[in-house]
Amino acid sequence: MLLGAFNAFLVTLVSMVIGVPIGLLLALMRISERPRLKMFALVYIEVWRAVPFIVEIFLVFFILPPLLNQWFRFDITAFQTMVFGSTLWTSANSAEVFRGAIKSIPFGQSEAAVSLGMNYVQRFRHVILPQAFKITLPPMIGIFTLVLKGTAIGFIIDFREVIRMGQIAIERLYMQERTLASLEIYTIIMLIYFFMCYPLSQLSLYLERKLSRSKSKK
Amino acid sequence: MDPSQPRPKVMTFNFQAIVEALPQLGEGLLNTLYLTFSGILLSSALGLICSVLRISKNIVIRTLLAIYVEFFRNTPIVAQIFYLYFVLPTVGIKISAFNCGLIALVLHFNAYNIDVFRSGLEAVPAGMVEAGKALGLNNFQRLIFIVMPIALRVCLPALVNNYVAVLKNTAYVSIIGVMELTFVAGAIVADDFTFMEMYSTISLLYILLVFGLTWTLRLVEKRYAIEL
Repeated sequence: MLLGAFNAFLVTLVSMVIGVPIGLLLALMRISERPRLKMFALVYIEVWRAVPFIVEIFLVFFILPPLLNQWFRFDITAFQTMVFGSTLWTSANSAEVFRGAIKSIPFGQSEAAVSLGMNYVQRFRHVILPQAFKITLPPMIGIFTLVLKGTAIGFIIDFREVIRMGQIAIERLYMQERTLASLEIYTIIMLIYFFMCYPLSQLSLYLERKLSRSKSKK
Repeated sequence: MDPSQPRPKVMTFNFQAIVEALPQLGEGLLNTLYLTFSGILLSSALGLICSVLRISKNIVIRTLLAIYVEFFRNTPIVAQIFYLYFVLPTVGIKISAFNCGLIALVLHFNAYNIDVFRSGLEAVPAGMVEAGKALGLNNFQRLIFIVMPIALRVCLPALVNNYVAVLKNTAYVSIIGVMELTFVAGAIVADDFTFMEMYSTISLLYILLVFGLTWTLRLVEKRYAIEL
């Protein structure tokens, strides 16, 4: 079952690595002045935030493999399906986080950058994003935790994460006539998830405190 | 069939299937809405009570509730639903799937609500509480007349987020067989494989539901929320 935990962690990591930059891109599109970019980003974000994660995974799981079967290759593992679904969800939510962080930067910073002669790209790269990035760190860890907990739903598509491994273990134990194992195994499942997520939430709180301290020092 | 080329999979979209499925989907939708509203009401009521307990002077109650909140916030709702559904019968408590899902939802969101209400309670300026003390109000009166109106209004935005999350998380109870929207769609798909139509329909329904709920709650928020 710890292998399942490792799998879940891996999916979360990959989807964050891919999803967060996409989220940044989406956030920039969302706040841009060009209507087509803005519309696309708006629809994308709102859709993938409104649909529940489990429904989204079903959508991806049923639509993606036949499409890939038709166009490119034959098989796509459950791991990759989970990564795809998690990346979609992660990108939409991190876009919201980035948008909030960028909006919270005082407008004076932007004005100062313009008065220094920076164009749009320079403004973002040198002034706004470094400041916004620090603000996004605690919520990003929150998203990481949410995706980690979300990988739990992968058991439906036979993705070997914690709950699925637990069910397999229960079946094996049942074959060996050792029933009533379900209580212990599910308790262990809960404990595994707890010990994966609790340090992350404490980390997020710690970062938040450090952030507010550095801000008040200024 | 051409043996040299892979057979193309034709992805058609059958609108007729959606129309035929509408009655069942409607029933599932009703169940989803019922779960959502019961979940919101019950977890809010419980959350209010528990959050007041959470900041009580009794350190035992405080620690117990802290452990409860941390545990239920850091485990996936899927694991919680499974735990309640599979483990409770072995201990002797037999509950229907629907009630199991409802209890899991309420317990899970109660943990989040406790934190939200607690931040609202702590945001009440101490001066107001002291003014209440000076006026001779006892603990309970202070709570109802001074603290709660402010606390509830301050924490409204976070609360709205939690309520929308309840709606989205009702989809998870389909894994234990509750006849709500996702489960009904899954059952129909298992019958006649119309997965494209079904899942895009319920995606659309969820989007509409989320937007509807958010819009309604934002109206309330605009009227009542204050910022401290």
